[in-house]
Amino acid sequence: MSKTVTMILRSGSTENDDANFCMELAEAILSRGDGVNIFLYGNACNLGSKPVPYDGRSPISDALREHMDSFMLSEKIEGIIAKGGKIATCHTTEYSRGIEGLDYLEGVEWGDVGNTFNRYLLSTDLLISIGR
Amino acid sequence: MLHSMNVVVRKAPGDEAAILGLRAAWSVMSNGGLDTQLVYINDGVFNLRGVPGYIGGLLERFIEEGGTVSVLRDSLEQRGLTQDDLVDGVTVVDQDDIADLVQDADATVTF
Amino acid sequence: MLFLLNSLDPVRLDEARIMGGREDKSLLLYGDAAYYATQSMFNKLAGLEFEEVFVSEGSLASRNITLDQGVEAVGYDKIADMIINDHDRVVSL
Repeated sequence: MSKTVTMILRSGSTENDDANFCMELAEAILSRGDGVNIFLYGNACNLGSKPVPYDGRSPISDALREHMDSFMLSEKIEGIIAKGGKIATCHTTEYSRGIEGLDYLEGVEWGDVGNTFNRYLLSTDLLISIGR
Repeated sequence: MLHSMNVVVRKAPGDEAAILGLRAAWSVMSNGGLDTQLVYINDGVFNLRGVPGYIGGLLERFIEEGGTVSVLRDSLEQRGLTQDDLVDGVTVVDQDDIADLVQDADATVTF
Repeated sequence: MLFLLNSLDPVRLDEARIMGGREDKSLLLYGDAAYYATQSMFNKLAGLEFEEVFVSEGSLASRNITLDQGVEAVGYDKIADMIINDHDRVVSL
């Protein structure tokens, strides 16, 4: 019988390995036929937003850009959702970061700890928190 | 399905993790109906000293609404604190008690 | 019980000791905690009596780490298997 893992992620992009670990693990869990919910809490709420295009001056070396690109998780997040994973942000932590008005990546849900997180818990067999 | 959860808070009130843990614990207890234990260890014990504003108010509400709050004695002593320094409604426990809480709950999350 | 560790902060190991008690404990290292898997750092885990110590292959690859022989490198498929099937408790430190 399949199980559902819910992960509370609190780290954002680039600051450490946590977000990448969470998403890679989510993909592996989905590949087994099990379910995944990810609640983007604290700094992780930034991950749910669609990158904003910028055409201005951005003097980043190719090597540094390649390094930074390795931390970008937008495609991975949309892929997890396309494979059946559920990902929601905490709108309160978005509010405190001034990003409530940004568009979400495809499939990311607006969420809150009071309702969305609790809804995830209803179907959860294993709950893990990932952060610092 | 989960029926019980420990929320372990290790950070002092100035770290966002402390309020994120408290909010999660309160919402899971009041909206999710889970048997929820707040457990404070290491620098997390400072959250129990009557923090003014939203944090202190939400902790008080958590206790009033039936939530259980435990604090590790060793963590208090390492910081020169005793139960008298803490808000009402907090139970001081030892390491074996924390390990028992972890074993007894369906999930333990850390903040 | 499986602990997940992502940091070299020694306080996290103290927390494993507090939360794990006398239970059988295993450890999965990822992120910078992967450095505990090196010969020079592995002894810092000795006092906690972990039955098994694993390290995420992804974290090794980006750090040029030589493993201590007491540590097993695992990919995400194995990590998923471990957290879902192999342990009655999984706690992130």
